Amino acid sequence: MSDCPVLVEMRGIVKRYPGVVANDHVDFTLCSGEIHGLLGENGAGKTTLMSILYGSVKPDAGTILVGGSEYKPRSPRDALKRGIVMVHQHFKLVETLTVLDNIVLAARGAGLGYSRAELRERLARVSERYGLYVDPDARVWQLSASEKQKVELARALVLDARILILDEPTTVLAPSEVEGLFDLIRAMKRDGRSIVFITHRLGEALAVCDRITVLRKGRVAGVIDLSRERATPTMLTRIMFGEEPPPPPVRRERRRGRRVLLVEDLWVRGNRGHWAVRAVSFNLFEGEILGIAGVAGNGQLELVEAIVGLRRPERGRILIDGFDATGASARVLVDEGVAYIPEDRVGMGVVPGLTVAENTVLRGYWRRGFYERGVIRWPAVERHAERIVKEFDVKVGSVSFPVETLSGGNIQRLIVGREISLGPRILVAYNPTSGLDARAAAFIRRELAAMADEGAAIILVSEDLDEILMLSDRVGVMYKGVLLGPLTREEASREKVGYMMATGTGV
Amino acid sequence: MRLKPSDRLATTLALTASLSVALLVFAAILGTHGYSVTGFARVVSSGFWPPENLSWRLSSIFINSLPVLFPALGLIVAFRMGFWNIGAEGQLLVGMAAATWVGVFLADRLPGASVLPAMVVAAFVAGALWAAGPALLRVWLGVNEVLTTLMLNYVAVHLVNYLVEYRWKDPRGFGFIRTPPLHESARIGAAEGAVLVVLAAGLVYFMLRYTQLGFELRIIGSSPKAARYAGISYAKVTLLAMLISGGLAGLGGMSVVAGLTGELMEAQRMSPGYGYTGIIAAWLGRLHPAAVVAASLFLGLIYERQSVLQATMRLGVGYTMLFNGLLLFAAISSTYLEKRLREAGRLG
Repeated sequence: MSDCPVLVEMRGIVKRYPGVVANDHVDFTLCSGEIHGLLGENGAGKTTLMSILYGSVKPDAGTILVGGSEYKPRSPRDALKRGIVMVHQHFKLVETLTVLDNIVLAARGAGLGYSRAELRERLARVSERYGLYVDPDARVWQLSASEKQKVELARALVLDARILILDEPTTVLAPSEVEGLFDLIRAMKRDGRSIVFITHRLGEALAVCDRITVLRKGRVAGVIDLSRERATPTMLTRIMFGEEPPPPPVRRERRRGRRVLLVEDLWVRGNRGHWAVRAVSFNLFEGEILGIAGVAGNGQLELVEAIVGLRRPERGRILIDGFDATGASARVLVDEGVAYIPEDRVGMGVVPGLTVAENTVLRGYWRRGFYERGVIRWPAVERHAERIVKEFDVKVGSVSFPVETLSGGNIQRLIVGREISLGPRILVAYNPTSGLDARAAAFIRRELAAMADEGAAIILVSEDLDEILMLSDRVGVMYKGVLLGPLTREEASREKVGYMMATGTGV
Repeated sequence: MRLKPSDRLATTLALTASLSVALLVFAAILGTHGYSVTGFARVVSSGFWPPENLSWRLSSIFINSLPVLFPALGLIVAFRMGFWNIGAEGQLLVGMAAATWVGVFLADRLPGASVLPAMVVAAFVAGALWAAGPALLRVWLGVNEVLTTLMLNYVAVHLVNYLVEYRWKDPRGFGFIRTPPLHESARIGAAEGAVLVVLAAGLVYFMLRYTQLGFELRIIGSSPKAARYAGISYAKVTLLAMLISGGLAGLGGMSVVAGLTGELMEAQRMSPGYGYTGIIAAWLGRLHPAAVVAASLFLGLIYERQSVLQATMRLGVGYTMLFNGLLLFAAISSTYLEKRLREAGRLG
């Protein structure tokens, strides 16, 4: 198929999970010194395929050759011996240890005989060579998501990985940081390393890859050699979905109503005690979507958590329709009509061990209809859950199954359904579509648009600039705890907002 | 809470397998120490056989299970929210002291029918207050509850010993360290015990399944972050859960003095560690009220047979504790086995 020097050859890989075939006789080749994109919707089997190569998932059938010899990893340790490292979407770092400790730990685990001092030295050299500056003595929990990613990459390089598998590495990055990652990937390629770049974003795959393998529903839908053929996003979309992509959201009305939220001179501290939000003031009106863009870690989370009652502001006021909601609890705010779609779906948005039905009243179990005469009315809760499951197309066998059996996209549908069913005046959504496949993302964007059309006020915090520009009526940018703007829809061009995100100026 | 049939099968298989291993290990230890394993089995099964006087023996087993059963029910409440109450023993001892005080010194001044309710209230309140301390320290200052609850057990031992030796000692007791006997109206039998068990187990079940508090503590137990998102007050739930947990342990103490001994003696002679055995029963029953009752009855059988084992085989109380320890080991390790079985079930 290709005349490049083949480094990894996976043949006829099959992996079944209950109810789904994650990989259905997948063939995959990785050439030495290439950047190979693995493209597909969520649930297409990309991560499973690479986890098999990485030794963390055992295939049901198929063979793998690495460098021409047979390779049957029993664990990631075997993978590391062949120079294969995977950087996961959810980082595998020990939060309470320092950066260097994490690297020492990995080196010991891999049976590499480097001393601590040698590893420190190697880390410094890797940092120098690739511009991956990380403080070896910083504790991991103090780092932002993009810094943690740098730590993972640096660790892979210190351990001299020849094959790097990057699982959706751009989801934690701001648009301006993505180019930096691509430069890094290209630099690694120049040094003869091979990279598998897992993504569901077409543009990124086209920007950086030499070849692309597209997976659809567990099968290879196509392999494109970009050095030989021209590929367009439309063409890739068709291969990915096998049909036309889902329609974009439409705002029918853009009519601004009464003011429902006033935030005045708000100061909020972050987890490390620093001022995460500084003197933020803004208004929010009925029927509008206020987009808040910004690189992760610039105070968006703290601002939003103060508004929804998860974090107590130190100074300032939050007024909802005249009600002083400053420092009110999340439960009071739910009753005041403030819904919240948190970023951390599995950790915060649901209780994985409880049933789907129980999760649909996680916020609202105290309300009439569910709770009467001192007793939670489970039959009423179950009917409510069945409505949400049906209306928001949550795929689950029964509402009495635990939520942990649901996929990420279905969990998000459940959360969105629950929050919308609260009948909110104000809906706060934080990265509501990150990591979701195009279909689920489009569904959620359409729901948000429809909510605004019906008069709800929406705050949309997103690291996906396209999403912000697509949906918002006004766009603000969070930069080092300060809210810039908001700009009107007309003023907010991609370039202008991107510049504000990167520099904090340009209003 | 509700399991799919295949998962329930996995639970049963895992528990059966690990309990069998525990029994085999115990049998092996008995054998190597020169005891007859069949003799042990005969004595334990003689709780049910031959059928003469069976109802008397069954009620004796039942009463012997109460000091484990009540703390175990209470521990369900604390453990379900992930609050590691290791202090059921201390809560049981102070409940026992409070019940003694009512049963010995207050009973003749109270109308007969109100003595038992007064003892129940006193024992519950005492156990609840003993548990409230660690709960408040945790909520206010973030003090680890494992340490505080455990340490308070030792304090409770000395408190009981102090009371019985210096305050409540029977002047006509020939110098024995014990209180005067409980008033006749302050004693309980199997019937009163059964009423209390049904009430307590029913309330725990109802509380967990149907009340806001129960739902909230299950949410906290699964995901503290989601609990914050739901606007649940960790402080309020912790305090209420510990009041219930400690109160039920206190009832266990009352069942010792009112059901078994009829008088208060030094702590070491009152409890062989019922509160700790309650932890075993709670895990054996997988924190489900009905199953915990069943596990407690089984442990009650062992306790009830203890005196017979001692008399006929010279098997010391240490072996009972060893047996209980093996059971806990089995109960905890079975969760791992269960997980593997479930995964296998899902794949197959």
